[in-house]
Amino acid sequence: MADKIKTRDRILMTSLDLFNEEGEPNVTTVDIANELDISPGNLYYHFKGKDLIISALYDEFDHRMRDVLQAPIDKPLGLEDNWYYLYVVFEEIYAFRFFYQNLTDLQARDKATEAKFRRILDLKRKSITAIALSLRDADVIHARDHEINALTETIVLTLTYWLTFQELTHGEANAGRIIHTGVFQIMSAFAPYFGEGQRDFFESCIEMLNAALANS
Amino acid sequence: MAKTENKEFLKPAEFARKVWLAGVGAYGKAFEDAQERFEKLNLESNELFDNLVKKGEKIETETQKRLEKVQAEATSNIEDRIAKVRESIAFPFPKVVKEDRIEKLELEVAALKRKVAALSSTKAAPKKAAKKKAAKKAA
Repeated sequence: MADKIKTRDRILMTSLDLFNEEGEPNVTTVDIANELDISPGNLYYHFKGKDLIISALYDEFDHRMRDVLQAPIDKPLGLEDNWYYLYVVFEEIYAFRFFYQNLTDLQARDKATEAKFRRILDLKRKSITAIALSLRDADVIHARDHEINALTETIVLTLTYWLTFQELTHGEANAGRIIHTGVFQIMSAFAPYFGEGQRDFFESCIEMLNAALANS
Repeated sequence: MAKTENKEFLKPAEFARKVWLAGVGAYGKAFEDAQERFEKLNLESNELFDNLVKKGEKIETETQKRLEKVQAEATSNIEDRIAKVRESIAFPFPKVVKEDRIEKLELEVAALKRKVAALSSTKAAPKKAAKKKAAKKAA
């Protein structure tokens, strides 16, 4: 059963890999067909062009990202899970990183995608706000409403541009490093609002990060 | 006045919901047999309507259940993923936080107890206080 994945899905999975690895503009439909070992005609039968592959991938991304972002809005996560949850969000972004590496292109592609991505941004805001409020309720952070709004914007910005920024800073970097540092960057945004008991926690987290990065 | 109040009537919102439920019922299997019965009973419309509402309610709960199931699956999916991250990364969470919180709550409870005690003593002994005042004045 498992080895008989539909050709359509195989095309999508392979395209995603190639776009992520090579950059979407550098990949042609012929490249995709070659990688899959199918004829360009067969590929054309399933997708009448690269744009349709991209938009199918975008829909998949949209669907998965919504599921992830909706979780803390529907029901507060466990207090400690909030931090682990950030890894899950970054993993999702990383899995579809070719979109994030080319956000201007994505926006220019078509109005529908632009609107959809704006909804994702909005959902990111709601999700992060929900997390910040639950941390405040539990006395982990002390922040006023306008501070939480500003914090949320900073975090959404970080989530959205972290990959590009890392690439600009370090060139090629491995997934582990990018995601680790991204999570800790977001933690640092929370740090000024941590209560006394949380400061030591943050310090130990930084130590942990440095150890993890030294190993990677 | 009292009679109209006692009389059962449907609030507009409730009525709208019942119409909706009747609609949902009509989409289900209920539709065919309801229609058959409609022809047989020939305009016993109240019973038909009630029946449709009942079936609609059943279908509505089923739909709701299915929706909840999908939502629960999405949530457990996230929980599984969080658990996976947890396995590979162990944040050095402070254990003291919870104790701090308990201590804080204990202090709050103690403060509240004192307040309650103060309130009940002033309530129970207003005369005493008055007497004391009077005594003070006399002295």
